[in-house]
Amino acid sequence: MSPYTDTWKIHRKNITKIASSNVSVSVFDRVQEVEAVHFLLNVLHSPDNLFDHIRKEAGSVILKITYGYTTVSHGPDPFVDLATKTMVQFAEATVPGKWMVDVLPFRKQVAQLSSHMLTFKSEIPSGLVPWY
Amino acid sequence: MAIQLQQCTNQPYEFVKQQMREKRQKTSFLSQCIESIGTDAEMEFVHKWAALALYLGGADTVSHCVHT
Repeated sequence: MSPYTDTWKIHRKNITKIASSNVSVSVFDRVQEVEAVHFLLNVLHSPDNLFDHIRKEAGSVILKITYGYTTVSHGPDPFVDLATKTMVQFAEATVPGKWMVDVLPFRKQVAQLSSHMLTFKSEIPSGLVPWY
Repeated sequence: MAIQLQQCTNQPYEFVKQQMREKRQKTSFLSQCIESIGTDAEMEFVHKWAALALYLGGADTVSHCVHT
């Protein structure tokens, strides 16, 4: 999604610093071990919510690495849920051809226009709007 | 949708900033970035989105692999 610019190069440089060689990645082994134990305990506790536990384990590891944030050890965590929700919406927004605006770019302006018209419409009595 | 994305970028970032202000941050990707490069507005933006890419990429791929 990001073009090949200076910003992108800084992104890459920063990420390479923590995730490039075996040595720099091995720092996170301990984090993964701890989260694996949490995961197993959670599965033992409530085996029915297996998929929730998997999602939470993956989320916990990356949150610890990226932000140093420790997730709630039992039950749902706000940041993990936030990521899931955002990704669901992102996936929906990027389905090719799902939205009319992908095919007809002018639809973007139409949406703005119609919202203007709706405000305009609400200001005058309903009987005076013949085209609706 | 835009609000959701903004929230997802800013909330964890503010969390790290808060922790750093109180001098009790744990070593992480973002705290290292902030320490080494600094926090002018442009760099702040870069860090925020680099961290978001890691966060969403990491949190989502594994669970989607399992689901499909």
